[in-house]
Amino acid sequence: MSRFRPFLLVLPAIILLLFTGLLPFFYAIFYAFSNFILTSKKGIEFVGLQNFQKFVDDPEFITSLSRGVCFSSLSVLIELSLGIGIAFMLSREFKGRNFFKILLCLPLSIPPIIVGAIWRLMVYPGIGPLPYILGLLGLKYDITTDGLQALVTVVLVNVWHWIPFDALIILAGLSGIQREVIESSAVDGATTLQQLRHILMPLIKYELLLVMLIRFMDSLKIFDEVWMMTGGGPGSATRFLSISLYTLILKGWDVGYGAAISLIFLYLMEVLTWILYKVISLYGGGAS
Amino acid sequence: MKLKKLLTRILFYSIIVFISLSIIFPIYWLIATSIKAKLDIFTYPPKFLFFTFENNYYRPFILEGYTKLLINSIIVSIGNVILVAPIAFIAAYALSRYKIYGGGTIYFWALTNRMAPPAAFIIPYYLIFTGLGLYDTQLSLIIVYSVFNLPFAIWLLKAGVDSIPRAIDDAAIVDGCSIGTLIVKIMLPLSFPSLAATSIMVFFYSWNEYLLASILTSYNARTITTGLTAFISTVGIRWGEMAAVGTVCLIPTTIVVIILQKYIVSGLTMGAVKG
Repeated sequence: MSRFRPFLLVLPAIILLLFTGLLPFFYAIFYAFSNFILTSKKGIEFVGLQNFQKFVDDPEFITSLSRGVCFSSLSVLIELSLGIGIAFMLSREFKGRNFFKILLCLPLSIPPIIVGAIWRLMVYPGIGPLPYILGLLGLKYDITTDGLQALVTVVLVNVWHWIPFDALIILAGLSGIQREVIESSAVDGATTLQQLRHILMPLIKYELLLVMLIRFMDSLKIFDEVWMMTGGGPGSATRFLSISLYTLILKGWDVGYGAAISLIFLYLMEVLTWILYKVISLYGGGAS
Repeated sequence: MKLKKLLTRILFYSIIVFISLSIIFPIYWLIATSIKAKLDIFTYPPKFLFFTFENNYYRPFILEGYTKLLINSIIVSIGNVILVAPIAFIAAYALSRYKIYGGGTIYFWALTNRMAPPAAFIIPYYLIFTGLGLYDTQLSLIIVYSVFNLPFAIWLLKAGVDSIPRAIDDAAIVDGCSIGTLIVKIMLPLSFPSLAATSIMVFFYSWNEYLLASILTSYNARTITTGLTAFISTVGIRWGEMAAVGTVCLIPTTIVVIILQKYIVSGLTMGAVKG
């Protein structure tokens, strides 16, 4: 009995995960090799690798994937640099620090789809304050027609939403550093910037790497915010992989092709997850 | 020297104020739009402060049945916590205390599920749940959300259990405590902070989820997040009502964050970062 006890304790979790995680995976593999279309009366026919061939030939998905990589890299870059700054500010004592910390948590508490709604209200031409303010400065700002502006806006919204996450994790890393280390470097005449660059950054390497990976992956699979704000438009300027997949499925219920793309998407995230896992087990230690 | 100090101080606080404003203003704008008259929503330049009031909450919540969507969201979110928390807790306990064959892979699997793109699950879930006759039920969402929540919950809870000294287990077992009593009577109260944090995170995720809910429900089990996109149509956007529903949707999560801010921070960092 006692030999099987640990296994029995994890059994419910395994069953639930098999059903919700592994079963859909097998479904996706099964249908990826078929030309099944849900809305048509035709039965399932197996077509081998045809769906994957279609993916390679279809510029739509390759473009939305590279667009997503650009979006994610840019988001992470801005988030990290600002996140480090905010975390650094929060690591010192100042009046109103606790209040500021609570305030910082606010964007995190908002459902992503609402973040999309909020920013749609902020930037939509004709009603939003942002086009108005930028208009006063002489800038023409219209995310419904200008693709580049739409893309930049979506990046900034992503940054706005997730910066607290970056800042709080980096802050956790900073607060693990002993005060003496910082103080002794100050005595030795290091400036704040030098401290940040040469003493603090190496010490929080793990937190930085972790935040970078998690945020890159989360940005790569972003859907809600962008869907609510731009719906992928204008044109296809903000159509990332999740949105392409979603519209493909809802447009024609091409289960075969959709499943193939789902598998490719999953595989890509799996590779990134593996890297994340390696990072956590190498540096984090305690987590695994 | 004193002047320089004063200047850095002013700079420091103006950055703080700037960040605070850029966080608060968009949220204020949502709430303001939700009580703004239709005409004032469209005036240009936008009316920031003194606008005519109008109750945009009335139509969606009283006339158009958004209350039902709200109740669905509550049922799904709490249902998922009830499903996930106990299963995750005993699994986390086992993973923390025993060397389980494949324990490492379970963790990797957990991470994979957490990081997997929901969009890739649309087709399989749709086919599975229509096949089971669970399409458009709250139960389907309660089950589906555990694919992301359960691994995450195990991850968070394991860190909580890890921090409880093993000597407590040994002492309890020497005193003749069964494993069930040990988990329920001793481990559960001791890991209450991490359990609370985990439950909140799980609730959040279910409450926030849009993509899968929009695929797996159509009328009966529709959640509040999916109701939001209904205001955007080819004819036009009903901004006021959209803002009203959005405001209601973010109230519970915001209140929880403000009250339990300490747990949220530890919840976010506990899994992979030892705070």
